[in-house]
Formats: sequence, structure tokens, C-alpha cells
Amino acid sequence: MSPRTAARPNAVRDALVMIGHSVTVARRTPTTVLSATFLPIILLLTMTASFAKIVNPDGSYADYVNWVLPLLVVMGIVFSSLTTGIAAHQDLHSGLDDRLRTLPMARSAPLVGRIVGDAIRNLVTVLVVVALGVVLGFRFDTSLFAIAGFFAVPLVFGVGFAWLAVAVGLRAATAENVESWLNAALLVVSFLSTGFVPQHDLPGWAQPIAEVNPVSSVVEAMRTLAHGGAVAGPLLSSLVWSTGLTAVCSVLAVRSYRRRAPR
Amino acid sequence: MTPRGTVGAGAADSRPVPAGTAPTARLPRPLLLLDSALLGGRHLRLMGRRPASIVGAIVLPMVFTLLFFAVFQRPMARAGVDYAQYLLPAVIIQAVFFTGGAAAVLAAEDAAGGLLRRLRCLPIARAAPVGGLLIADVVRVLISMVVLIPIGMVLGFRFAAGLIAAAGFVAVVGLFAVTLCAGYVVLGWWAGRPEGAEASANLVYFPLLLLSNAFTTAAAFPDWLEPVVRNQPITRVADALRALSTAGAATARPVLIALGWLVPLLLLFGLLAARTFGRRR
Repeated sequence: MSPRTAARPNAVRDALVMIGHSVTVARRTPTTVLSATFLPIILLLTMTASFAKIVNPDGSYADYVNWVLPLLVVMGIVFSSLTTGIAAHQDLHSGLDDRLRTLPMARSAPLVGRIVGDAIRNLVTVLVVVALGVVLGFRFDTSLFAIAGFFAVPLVFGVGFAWLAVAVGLRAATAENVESWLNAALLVVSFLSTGFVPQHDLPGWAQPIAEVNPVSSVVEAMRTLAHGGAVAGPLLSSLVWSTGLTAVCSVLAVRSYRRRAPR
Repeated sequence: MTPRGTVGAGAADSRPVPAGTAPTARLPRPLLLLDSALLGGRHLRLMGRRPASIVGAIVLPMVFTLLFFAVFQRPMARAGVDYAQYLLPAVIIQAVFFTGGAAAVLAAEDAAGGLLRRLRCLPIARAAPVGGLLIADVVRVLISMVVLIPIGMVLGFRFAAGLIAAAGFVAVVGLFAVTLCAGYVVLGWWAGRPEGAEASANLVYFPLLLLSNAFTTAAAFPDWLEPVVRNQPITRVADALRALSTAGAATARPVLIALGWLVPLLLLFGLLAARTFGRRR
């Protein structure tokens, strides 16, 4: 080994580089752009146009926009996080990750880059969906503080979910396999929630599922933060889900990421 | 079918060709059906080895059937619609869209991976590459239907218009599958990249399917949108399928309107497919 050693890695600077990498890759991946922006936008437009009068015959289309918007934010977040999980899998198996390990960079940077990159993408999703929602009649009836909470709740949940997606991506044997099954599973959690219809309109067997479903908690918390109501219960349970997912999945992700180290 | 590389009837048999004749004269006459079947078999094998296509053909349509039924059955019943009867044509149409999207990706892979260029220099029927994809797609749609119809029946769907109408139902689905997938194959070849093909397939799928009366009644849409919803081709296909599965419904008119959409579109897509295949890109 030569006496000149490489510069000490700077964790913050390296993380910023990897965040930039994640954001660039996300922007240039059609399926990510599609599920982060196009999917929630088109669902907000079409589900409102087609089901508003069915779900609530007495309400207006704008009423249904106010009702369904939180779910579509959550769907945009979870479905696009899936593509990040796939990207983590591909980096690990395509050699990019091996290349990064040979560089004098902070070991934490690749994972931090993924999670923060996801958070930025999720922020874009929330802003885009809310902007379109306001055009269609979405309104906040609460304080500025609650509105800030409205934006924070899906982002915090998004961090937990991003850890889940990365953990699955790092541990999965084949990306395609996991992607298609998770896709189906995410549809189930999105639909069997109180997102599209009120809980009493779900069939009896689905009501307990919707009750414990984290998507319901996040959606209900966002609804009450935007329109008022009992916020404590759903807010608490969505925070519990978010921190639980973060705690468990970040440990799993970091562990499987470390395990690959000596090669 | 364009018998490329053949010169008259003499090329059909395998008699030795005198020296000095153009080399193309020795090539056998291509057979559209055989070539298509061979390429179709290849696509089916590829699909069978991909978990994603099995999930897309069987699991996702099942999941959507159950989810839509679970979530919207009560609200639809309030609106006076028997949702089990209403939903089955919708999820079959959706399964056809899934197959079409997969066909676009397969077609783009063939274009990107060089198979299309290779096929172009073989003495095969010019329509066989698209024919092969379509054969595989129809088989896949039939598999989806074999899974979905029993599930629909468990939920309460019935072929209430008799056996002949039920056969007509399957035939309309088949024609719809061939038409839509031909369009998707052209899209996939044009996109030339699997990722781009998948993204553009979704751009077609969401508005066409969700702004139709497939999952909900046309009357539920805003007034200004309702005429578009009522008259677009997916609605027309759904109308025909519902007429063919409802007791005492007038079938002739909805079926003819659906055919009026599907047959010209199929001709158009077939023409575009042949032209796209014939061109170097």
C-alpha cells in the first residue's frame, strides 16, 4: 500500500452525490415517473369522473376529490417506491454497487442516497397530486399547522415504505419475480382500505382488514388534517406504522447490504 | 401474405434449380400459418418462463376482480347495478389490456434485441412476426378467461343469454384481443425499447379503460364526458359482451357496433404491423 492514502470520505458530501444519482435515475426511468406522477394523476381524474356519483350520489365531483385524494397520494408513493426497490436490486447485481465499494466513499452513502432520493420523489408526488386536486376542487379547511401535517404524514410513511422496498430489493433473488408479486400485494392494501369508499361500504370480511391497514391510517390522518375531525387516532397509528417499518426494514436493509461487503 | 423471395410456382417444390438462377429462387414458399405458429410457440415459451407474465395473466386479473367487487359492490347495488354480472366483461377486457401491454414489451424486446432484423432476412411470411405474437396473445387471453369466468360465476355472474350467445361472447373477446394486441405490437415495435413500450402501453390503457363504462355506468360520468364514454370503442365492446351475457337483451345492434369498431381497427393495425416490420429502423 502506498503511503499516500485516499482522502477521508465525507459522509454528507458522498450522500449528496448518491442522492443526486437516485434522483437522476428516477427522472430517467419511465416506470418510476409513471407511477410517481402519471398514475396518481390519471387515477384522480378517472376515479373521480367514474365513481364519484356511485360512491356518494348526493355529493359533487369535488367532494369525491377531497375524499379520494389522500389514497392516490399514498398509491403514488408505494407504487413508485417499488421501482426504487428494483433499482437497489439491479445496482447490487449489475456491478454498480461493487464499483461504489471500491471508491473512497462513505459506506452509508448508497443507502442514504436511496432513501433521501425516494423522499424527494415522494414530495414531488404529493405536490403534483395536491396541485391538480386544488384545480379540481380540493380544499383545506384547517390551520397551517395541520396542513403542514397533511404533507408530512405521507412523506414520513414514504420513508418507512422506502426502507421496506430497499430491504426487499436487496434480499430478493430475482427482481422481476418480487416486483410482480409485490405489485399485486400493493393493489390489495390500496383497495382494501378506506381510501375509495367508506368503511361501512366494504363487505363484512374486508372491514377488519381496512381497519388495521396502514394505508387506511395514513389516508384517515391526511383527511382529518385537511378537513378536520378526530386526528389523534389515525395520526398515531400511521406514525407507529411508519416508525415500525423504518426500524425493522432499515436494520434488515443495512444488514443485507453489509453482508455483501467482503468479496 | 407476401411471398417474399419466391419466383412463381416453380419455387414451391424442391427440384434442383439450374445454376445461374438468382439465389432467391431456391427458397421455399413461406407459409403464413406455419411461420406464425412457430413464432407464437416461441412467445408462449418465453411467457411461461416469466413469473411476471403468469402474474399478469392470472393473478392480477383475479386480484382486480375480487378487489373491484369487494370495494364497489355495495355502492353499485345502491345505483341499481348487479355488479357481479356487470364486472366480469370489464375484468376480461382489462386482462386483454394486460396481455396487450405484455405483447408491446415482447415486441419491443424483439426489436431491440435484433430478432426482428434477423426475421427480416429469413424467407418467412411477412405477416408471421405479428401473427406469432397474436397467436400467443389469444392463448394467453383464453387462459385469463378460463380463470376469470369461474370466479365471476362464484360471485354471481351468469351467461344468461344461452350457449350460442356465450360462444359469441368468447368470439368477441377473441376478436377484441387480436385487434388490441395488434395495435400494441405496432406500438412496441415503434417504441423499440421495452421500458418505453411499457410506459406508452400504460398511457393508452388507463384513459381508454377507465374512461369507459367497463367498471362503472356511463351515467355516472360528468355530463360533458358522458357522450365520449358512451361511444368509445372499449365501451362498445363492453356493451356487446354484456348484451351477450344478459337474458333477453337485444344482441344484434351492440355486437354489430362493436364489430364496426374492431374490424376496421384490426385491418389498420395489421397494415401498420406489416409496414413496420418491412421497414428498417
